[in-house]
Amino acid sequence: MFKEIKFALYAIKKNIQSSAELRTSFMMNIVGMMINNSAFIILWVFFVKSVGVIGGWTAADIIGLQGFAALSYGVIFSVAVGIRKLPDYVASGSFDRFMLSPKNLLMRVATSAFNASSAGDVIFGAICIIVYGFLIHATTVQVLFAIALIILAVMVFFAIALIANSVSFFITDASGVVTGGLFELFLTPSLFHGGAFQGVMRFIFTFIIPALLIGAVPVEAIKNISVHQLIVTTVMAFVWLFISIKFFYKAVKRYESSNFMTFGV
Amino acid sequence: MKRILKYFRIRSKMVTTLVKERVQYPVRLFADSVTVIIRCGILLLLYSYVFKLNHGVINGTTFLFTSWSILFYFLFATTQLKYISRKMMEDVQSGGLEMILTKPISYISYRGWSQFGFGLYSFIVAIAFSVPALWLTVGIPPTMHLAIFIPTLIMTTLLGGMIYVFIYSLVGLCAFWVEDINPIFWIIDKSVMILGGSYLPIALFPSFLYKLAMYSPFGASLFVTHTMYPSWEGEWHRMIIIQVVWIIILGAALYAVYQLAKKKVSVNGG
Amino acid sequence: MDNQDNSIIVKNLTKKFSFPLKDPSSSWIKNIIAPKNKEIVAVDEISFSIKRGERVAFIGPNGAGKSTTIKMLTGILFPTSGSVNILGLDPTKDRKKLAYKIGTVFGQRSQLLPNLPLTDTLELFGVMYDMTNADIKARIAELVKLFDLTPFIDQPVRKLSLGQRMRAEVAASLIHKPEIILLDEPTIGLDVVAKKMLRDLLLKINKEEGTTIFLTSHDVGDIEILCNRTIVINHGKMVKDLPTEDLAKTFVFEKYIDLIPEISFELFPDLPVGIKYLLKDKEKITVSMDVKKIDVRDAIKKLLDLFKVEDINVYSADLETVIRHIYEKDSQIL
Repeated sequence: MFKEIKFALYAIKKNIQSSAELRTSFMMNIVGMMINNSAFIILWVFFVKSVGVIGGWTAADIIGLQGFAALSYGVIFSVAVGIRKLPDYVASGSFDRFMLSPKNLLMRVATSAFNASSAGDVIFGAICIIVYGFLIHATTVQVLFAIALIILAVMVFFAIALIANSVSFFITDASGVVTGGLFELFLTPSLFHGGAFQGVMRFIFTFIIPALLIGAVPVEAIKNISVHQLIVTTVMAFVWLFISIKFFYKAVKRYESSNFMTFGV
Repeated sequence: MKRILKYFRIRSKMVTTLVKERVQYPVRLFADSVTVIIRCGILLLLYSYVFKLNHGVINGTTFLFTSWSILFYFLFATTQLKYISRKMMEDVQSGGLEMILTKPISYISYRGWSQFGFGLYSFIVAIAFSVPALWLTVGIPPTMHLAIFIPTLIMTTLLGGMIYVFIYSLVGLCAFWVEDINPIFWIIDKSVMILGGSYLPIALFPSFLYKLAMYSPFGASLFVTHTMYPSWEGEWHRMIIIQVVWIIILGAALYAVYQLAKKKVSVNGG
Repeated sequence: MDNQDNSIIVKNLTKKFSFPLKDPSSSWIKNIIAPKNKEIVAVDEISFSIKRGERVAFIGPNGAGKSTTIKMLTGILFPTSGSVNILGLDPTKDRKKLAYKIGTVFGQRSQLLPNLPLTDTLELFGVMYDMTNADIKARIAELVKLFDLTPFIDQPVRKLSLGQRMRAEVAASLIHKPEIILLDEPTIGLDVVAKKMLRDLLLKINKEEGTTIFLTSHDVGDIEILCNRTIVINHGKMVKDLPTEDLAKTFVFEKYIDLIPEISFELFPDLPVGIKYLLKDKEKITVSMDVKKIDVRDAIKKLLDLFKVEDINVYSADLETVIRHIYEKDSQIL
C-alpha cells in the first residue's frame, strides 16, 4: 500500500512537471480558473443583496461554500483528473495501458494526468476558506473542524466523480456527454446558495446526491460547531468512498478494449 | 437567387445530416436533454422556495416570471452552440481543419451550421418536455399572451443565437494563436452566463449589472431571458436593434480574425 | 503555356516554416515576447509537371516534405515562393474553385461522419459540391458498384474495418468526379489484401474515369504496381523524377554483397575498382558492385582474399532496396 501511494505521488509529480513545461498555458489556466470562480462569488453576492438572508446564510457563508466546493473540485481534478478522462480512455481503448500496469488500477488511472486549471481551483478554494475564517473570526475548534471537513469533502467529491465517470464502461460516451451530465447533477447544486435547501431538497442533496456535503454542510458545521453535522459528513464520506470503489471495479469488468479512429469532420 | 438557394441547400443538408447522426444515439441525447432539464428543475425548486420566503415578491418580480426566464436560459444552453469553440480548437490541433479546407465551403460556416445541427435535436426535445411542465405547474406570464410575443421571441432567439455563435467562434479562433483556449473560454462563458441571467435571473440584477447585460454582447446573446417580463413589450424594439448592431460588429470581427487565421494556416501550417 | 495536357505544374516550389525556439537560458517572459525563431526548409525548389491521366507516386522518408507538398497543391498551405498551377487554377487564390475539381484523401484522418452509414456522408458531400439529387443518387450507385461497398453500406462508418474505411474514404472523395485525386499515405496501416484492393481500385478509376492520381507513400508496393512515374524527394529536395520502370532499371547493373565475419571485422581496406562500401560494421559489411566494371566471380574472389568470411550473400536490388539506398545515401549512389 505504501509503495502504491509512493508511486502515485511520483506520477503526480511527473504530471505536474510535464504540465508546467508549457508555462504560459499553465499560468493562464490557473489564473483563468480563478477569475472563472470569482464569477460565482460575484453572482451570489448580488443574490444576497437583492434577496436578503435566507436560511441564516450571509454573503460570508457563500464565500466559505464556494471555497469548499472549489477546493474539493480542485484537489481531485488536478492530481486525479484521470478520473474525468475515463470516458475518453474507455472509448479510445487507451484504458488498455492501465489494465496492463503493475500498479493499483484505480490509482494509476486517477493519477494518469494533471490539470493545471484545477490548480487554480485549489488556490482559489484555499483563499476563500481562509477569508471565510477571518470573516467569522474562527476559533481553534472551528479551524480543526475545517481541516477535517476539507478532507471529507474531497473524499465525497472523489467518490461521486468516480461513480459518474465509471458509467462510461456501460455506454459508449467518447466525449463524456453522459457522464459529464450526470456529474453536473451533483456539481450544480453544490455551488448553489446553501440556505435555499430545506426539507425534501436538503434530504435529497445530502443523502441521495451528496452535493451539499462538499460545501453547504461543511460551512454550516463550522459556523455552528455542529458535531452532529460533522458525524453525518464523516459517515457519508466513508460510505460513498466504499460504494464508488466497488462500483468502479464492477464497471471495469464491462470494459471492451476497442480501437478507435480519429475522425476529422 | 440561385446562390441563395444553393447556400441553403448545403446548410439544410448539413443540419439534417447532423440531426440524423445525433438521433443514432437516443440514450445519449436523452441524457443530454434530461440532465440540463434536471439542473434547471433543481434551480427552479430552490428559487420557488426563496420566493416563498420573501412572500412571493423579490425586487418587484415574482416566481412566475423568473421561472420562465431561467427555463429559457437553460433551453438555450441545450443547443450546445458554445461548444463550437472547443470544436474549433480540436480542428486546429488535430489537423481536421485541413480536411474541411479541401472542401468547397467556408470553414466557419461549416462549423457553425454543423454545431447548429448537432444541438437542434436536444433543443427540441428539451422544449417539448419542459415547456408544458412549467406551464402546468406555474402557469404562463401575461406577456406570453401578447400577439408580438411569439414573433419577437423567435426573432430574438435567432439573433441572439447568431451573436452567441459569433462570440464562441471568436474564442475558438483564438486556438490559432494560443495553445489552450480553455481559460479564455471560461471567462467569456462566465460573462455570458452571468449577464444572460442563468443562476441569477435578470430581474434580480442590480441596476448597473442590468445595464451591462443590456449593452454588452454577452447579455445581448441571451435577450431571450427578457422576453417574459412585462418590460419586454416596451423594450423589444430597442433590444432587437442592439442585437443587430452586435451582429454587425461581431460578424465583421469574426471575418477579420478568420482571414488572419487562414493566413496563419497557409503560411505556417497552423 | 501547355496547360491543356498538364494537370499539375509546379515551379520552384519552396516552403519554409519558422517557429519560435525556446531558449532555456532566458526568462519565459522573454521567450514569449521576443522569441528566437528557427527556420526550416520543408520543401526546397521543387519543379515538376504532371499530365492528365498520369499516375504519380511522390515518395520519400518521413519528414521529406511529401505532406507539405500535397497541402500546397490543395491550397491548404501557401508556398513561401514558387508557383503551383492545377488545372489552370492557382490554389492560393482559388481554393474553393479548385475543391470542385480535386479529391483528397488523407490516410491518417477521416473525412467521414463516424456515426452514420457511408451514404449519409456521400449525400452530404454531393450537396456540398452542388450536385443535383438525381446525380448524387446515380453517382452513389456507381461508386457502390465500383468500390464494392454493398456489404457495409448500411453500417455506421466507425464500425468499418480499416480497409473498408479507406475504400469508403476514397469513394467519398470521388463523389464529384474530380479530375485529380491526391492521396496522402492512403495505404498506411492496411494489410496486404486491403492494400491490393485499394490499388486495384485506384487503377480502375484511373482507367475508367481518366482521373489523375497523385499519391504520397513510403510503401514500395504502391509505386511498383500503381504508379507509372515516381518522384523521389528527401530533405525537401527532389532527388529523382523518372518512370517507375527506369527507377528499377537504373539499379539493374548494381549488385549488393553482404559479408558476415568469422569473428569480427577489424580492418576495412580499400576495395578494388567497381566495388564500394555501403556498410562498414564489425558484424557485417555490405558493398555494392558495378557489373559493368567487374564481374561477380572476380568480385567475390577478391573480397574473400581481403576478409575472413563465414557467410556471403549476393543479391540484386529490388525496388525497395533501391529506394532505401536512395533515402540513406542518395549522393553516393546517384
